[in-house]
This record gives sequence, structure tokens and C-alpha cells, in this order.
Amino acid sequence: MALLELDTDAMPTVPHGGVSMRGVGKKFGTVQALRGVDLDVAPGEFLVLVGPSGCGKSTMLRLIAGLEDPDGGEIAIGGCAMEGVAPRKRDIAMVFQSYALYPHLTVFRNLAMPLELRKLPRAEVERRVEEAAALLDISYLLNRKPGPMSGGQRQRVALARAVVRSPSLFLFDEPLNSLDVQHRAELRGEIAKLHQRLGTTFIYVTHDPVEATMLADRIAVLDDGVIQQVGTPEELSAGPANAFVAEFFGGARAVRHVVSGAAR
Amino acid sequence: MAASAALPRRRWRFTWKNVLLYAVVLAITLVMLTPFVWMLSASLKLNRDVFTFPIEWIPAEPRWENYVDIWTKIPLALFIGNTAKITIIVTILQLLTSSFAAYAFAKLKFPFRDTLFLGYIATIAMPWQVYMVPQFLLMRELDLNNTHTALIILQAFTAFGVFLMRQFYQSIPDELCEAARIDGMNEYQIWWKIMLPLSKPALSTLTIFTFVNTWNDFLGPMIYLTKTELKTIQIGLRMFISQYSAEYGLIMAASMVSLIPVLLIFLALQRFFVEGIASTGLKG
Repeated sequence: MALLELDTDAMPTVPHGGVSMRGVGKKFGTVQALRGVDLDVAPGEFLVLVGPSGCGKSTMLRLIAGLEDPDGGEIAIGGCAMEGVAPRKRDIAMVFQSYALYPHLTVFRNLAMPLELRKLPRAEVERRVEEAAALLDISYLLNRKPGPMSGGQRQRVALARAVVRSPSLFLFDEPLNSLDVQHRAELRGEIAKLHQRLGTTFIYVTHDPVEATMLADRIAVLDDGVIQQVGTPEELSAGPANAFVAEFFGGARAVRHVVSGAAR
Repeated sequence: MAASAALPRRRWRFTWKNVLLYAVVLAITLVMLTPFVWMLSASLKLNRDVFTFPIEWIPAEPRWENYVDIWTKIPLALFIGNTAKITIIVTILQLLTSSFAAYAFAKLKFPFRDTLFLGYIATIAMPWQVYMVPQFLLMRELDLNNTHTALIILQAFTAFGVFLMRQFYQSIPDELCEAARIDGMNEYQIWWKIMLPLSKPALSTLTIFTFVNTWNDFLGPMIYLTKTELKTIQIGLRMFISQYSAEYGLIMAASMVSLIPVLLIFLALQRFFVEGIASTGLKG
């Protein structure tokens, strides 16, 4: 709502930051979390990774972020191989389910931190923080600390912290899981608008096929560390590759029918 | 404050269980406080009156001069200065080294991390008396005997401090460090800008433990410091004891003075201390 009225000229509008994964595997102890994953995410695309708990979707996101190292295979962001590249050098932003805001700092300082670490001039930092805060409708929270805020407010701050850096790739790790139904719907809309406005690549993890269907340009369905199918929501709905995808999206399809029926 | 204001205060009810509980608590408090009260009382007496029985808890003629004499009969100010110097440096070093090592053990991944931590923690079980002689020989070889540096180096690292801080850091979500890494911080910056400000309760707890232990340390200074100008207050008090007599009144007065910094530190940090004990899973 507020998003459309604000001047966001400073935000990047050129799509960039495509991701490519080739034969990526990851094992934790005896558990094989990912098995030879191949995936391409086009620049500016909104890709949702969806699957049941423990299927490896968060692991995939963490490998792209550089928070874990793959046991095998290659990951490239924007055409550059990421082997040995630290998370801070990948030009990415990540939004966590637990918000991961610095509790001892005000919202302003939370937002300013990534910019200060890049040694941007003070005036530039203030300008970008205020723009990001306005974009997410949290200007009134800038002088407060995250502790007493509601889940919805905290997740807006976390989104603003991601936006403020103008990264080439946004990663979302089940960002709406801790929120109530009303805030989920509200923030889901904000994320979709954010993607339209920024045109940056978004990779979004969820276990909820309905949420995936509502947000995604394309969906990658994972199970047991293997990608079962990648396609648009319509493709998955119309032609599931196997019984797992059909079953997993059965509920989502039913919801979509109800929603589209109600709309008619 | 806000929390206590919001909560309705529970009314005290007269039950035999409550009476018994209060009686036990009162008895324990009295047992704990009696030596301090006796020390305070003795510090205001003449040497010959200290051990009279029955105990005269409030001296008929308090000797306030004891509190003047302690500064002139021995170089007490110098001893307090030495103790303060060693205690403050050791406390700061322990806070830095413990929190630094604890961060690595709690939040970084490296080969044999947990084995190394277990090995380090196992050293807590080894009493200092077992290795104090080889340690002394080592310090002598390094030409550090009769220096404050020896005591400072030996106490700058503590397995207990690392354990305490690590327990606290483990309660801080990993996502916070991961968000900081993505934001652009290196590990040193995460430790300094995120972990340290968040660990005030654990740091306060460690400050109290370290400050009190180092301030009250007797054996360490006795082994390493023989020159009067280097002595700390705990071994300096022995100067009131001669071959045939001891100035107990003065010893108690000086002991009371030496208690003041410890009490001040405890009172200043006790709010965090209780919080720290609770959150690090240590039991008092």
C-alpha cells in the first residue's frame, strides 16, 4: 500500500543476480541433506523452494548464502563461482524465520549496520535507511529496539535490513512461519510487491504449497534432498512429474480452485 | 521494574510452612553473617580484648584508632594499589580471553572443536596445588619471579571462564551470527559488536568471580612476591603478625577495608550476576 506511493528511485530496478547450481550435494553426519542438485534461477526471477520439513530446502538456501559449504558440485551467483567466497562478499541479503535482528541496537542501527560495514558516508547511510524504512512502513520504529515489537513489525524490519543494501539476490528462509494468519497475508503481499518493485532475484523457502503458489514465478519441489520438479505453479498443477508432487500440491490446487471459484 | 509493577504482589500468608521456611532462612543468614559481625567488632578492639569470652559484640570503648593505625604501621595503601592493579588487569584479560575463546567454541566450526573444548574443561578438575611448583619453576626460568607479570600471565586464562561464557553464547541464536556474516562482519567484528554487548549478564558474573578470587588470592602472591613493595593486601596483612604476637585488632580493621572493593563490585553487578547464573545454567 505504502510501497506504491513511495519514491524508490534509489533502489535497483535492473534484474541481476541469477543463480546456478550444478551437482550440489551436502551431508550432515550420516544424513544426506542434498543429492546432486541442479538448478538455474534466472536474474530477476522469484523462485520458491518448497517441500516437507527436512527435505533440504533450507540447506540449499544456506549453501547459496555461503553459510554452509557444499560437499560437492558448484554454485555460481551472477555467473561467478562461489567456492571459497565468504557470505559477506556474495552481494546477497537473507531474511530469517527468527528475524535475526540485533536486539541491543535500535531499528535504525540494525538497518544502518550493513551500510556502515561497507564504510558508506553517514549522509548516504541515513538516506538509504530512511528510504528502506519508508518502503516497509516502519519509519515510526526507527528509534526503537526490536525486543518489545510484534512479530510482524520485526519481520518488516528484517525485510528493510535486507532491502537497504540493494543486494543482487534476496534469500528468504521461511520468513512468515512465526507470524499469525493476518500478518502472514499482509507481509506476503509486501514481499510480492517488493519483488515487482526491485526486480531482483528472490529465492524463497517455504513448506507451504499455497504460499509457494501465490508468490512464485517458478517453484522447485524438493523431497529427500532431490529436486522432484521445477516449473511454474500452473505447470506443477497441470502436470505433476510424480506422485509426490501431485500429492504435495493436491491441497494447494484445491485452495486455488476455491479461490478462483470465489473470484468468478 | 516494569515487570514487577505489572505483576500483582503475592500476599504473605501465615502458615506453619512459611514460618518454618523463614526460621531456616534466618538461621542460615545469621550463621553466614556472624563471622563478619565478629570481624567488625574485633576491628574496634584492643588486641587483648579480641578473644575475650563471652564475646563483647559492641565494644564499650571502640578503638577507631585501629582504622588510622593500619595505614601507618604497614604500607597498606601500597598493598591496596598492588592488589587493585593485579585484580583489574587480570579481570579485564580474563573477560577478553574467556569470551574470545568461548565464541570460537560456541559459534565457529573447526576440526576437533568439541574434543578440544572437553580437554580444556577437564583442566578445571586439576587442583592448582598439583602444578603450582612446575609453574613456579617455569616462571623463574622466564625471569618473572618477584614480578606482578607472573601473577597476571598465570591468571589471564581460565577454563572456568571459557566454560561459563560458552554456555551463555550457546543460548544466543546462531542466526544472529549468520545475519551478521551476511551483513558484512568478520568473526572478530561479530564477537566485538554483537556477542560482547549481548553477554552483559555472563560478563558480570565472570567479573564478580574473577575479581573476588584475584583480590582475595593468598597463595599466588605468597609464592611469587617476596619484596615488600610488590606485595598484595592479603599477604601484606601478615606484617601485623610478628614472631611472638599478632595485632588481631589491626588485622581485622585492615580486612574490613580490604572487603570494601569486593562488596562494591558485587553490589554493582549483582543484578546481572543473578541473571547470568540463571542463563548460563550454573547452579549457585
